[in-house]
Amino acid sequence: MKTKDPQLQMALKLQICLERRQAAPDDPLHAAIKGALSYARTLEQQLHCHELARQHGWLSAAVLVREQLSHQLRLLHRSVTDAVNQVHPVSALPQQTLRDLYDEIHQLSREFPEVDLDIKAGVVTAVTEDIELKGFYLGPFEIKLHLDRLAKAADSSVFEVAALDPHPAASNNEVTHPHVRDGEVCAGDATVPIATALREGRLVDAFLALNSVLHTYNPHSPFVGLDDWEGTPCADCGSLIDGDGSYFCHGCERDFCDDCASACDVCGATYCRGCLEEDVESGHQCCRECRQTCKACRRIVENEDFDRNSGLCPQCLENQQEEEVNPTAPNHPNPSQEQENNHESNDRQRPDDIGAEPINCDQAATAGAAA
Amino acid sequence: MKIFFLNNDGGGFADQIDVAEGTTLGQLFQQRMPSCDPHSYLIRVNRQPAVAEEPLAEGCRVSVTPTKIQGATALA
Repeated sequence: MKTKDPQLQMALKLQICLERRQAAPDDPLHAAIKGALSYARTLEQQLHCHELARQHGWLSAAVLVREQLSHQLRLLHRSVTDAVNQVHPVSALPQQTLRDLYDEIHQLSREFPEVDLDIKAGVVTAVTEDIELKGFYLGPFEIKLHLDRLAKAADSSVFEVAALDPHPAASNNEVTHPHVRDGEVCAGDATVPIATALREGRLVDAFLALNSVLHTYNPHSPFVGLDDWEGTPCADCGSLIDGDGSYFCHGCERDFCDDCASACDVCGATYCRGCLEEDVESGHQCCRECRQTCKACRRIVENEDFDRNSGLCPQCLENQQEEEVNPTAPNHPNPSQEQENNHESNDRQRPDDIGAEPINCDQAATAGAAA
Repeated sequence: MKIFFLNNDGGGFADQIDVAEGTTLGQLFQQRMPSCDPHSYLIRVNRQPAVAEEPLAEGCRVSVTPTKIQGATALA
């Protein structure tokens, strides 16, 4: 059949695809049983956690896990129902004709603000309205149905979901929606109706069910919860921080959380721990502006105690003055003398050492995050 | 008379059901989904939006899809 009507062309392509899948059908019973077993395993783990929480008297944790248990039980119930229905299918819809498939394509263009039919690639794309969940604007999404995937399987994996105006989670750019990661949507409660609709060639119902998932937030099992959606990751430990809990380091000019931020004991300005060095004599943490390095013993010295004329710490200056009075005294303290003079040796490389590189805050942050 | 009822809530199966002559869409929804709020569903008769008072006809196709369905993370 030759036609220039793109909707009819796509309906034809869809018909061929459905016929191909029916010739080599997947086993929906196996898929349904696997799903139920997976939910059952998770339920068992959560039950164990609940028992532990109760045994230890962790009441808040017990309440939280109980909510998760309840949700998981519901998912298990749904998946078992689906498996049972696969044994005794109850659908009474006659096989979709070309006319029905054409109507499906036509209806899709009425249900969504924008629909695109890529005949050559065999992709049906529907664009959702702007999506906002619990006050978080996530933008519109495009839902793509790949016919080549539908020829092999009838589940939500045939869809690809992409944000058109992405507002991803701060902690993971691939998560553009609490239930979408890297283009893959986890349909949750819509898994069964989507699979059923796809098996029966009911494209619109599958698209609408997926659209309903995108318009709903399930706080029990998101990829990233909306409570953790926004914020800046701490440059040291990686935890998310909001505007009020963020501390700007004047040294490396990055944001840190309350736990990882510190302050210069001399000037009081905010710095991260990687940008501060301790004067072991005074015990003060000093920023780059408030500290010097003794050119003789390499000790960190806060500005107030540092002799700028000689470039020495008080102890080395005293030694030099003694040397000038008594020329037989040794010229410079050796490392063992530094310790005898209460110059605590410090094996760490100091950022202010001549020719030394400053501490790499990226490395420090990575190490902190890894820890 | 017989109609096709497509309930995308739960299992999402299509059913051929018997309804009395003159049954309206609103009455059907009440009968099949008594504890549900029709405002939380996209309801179509023969693929078209319809009002509660619309009488159903022999062989018509009624589909019901919830506007909110909870997603999840991937299965373990």
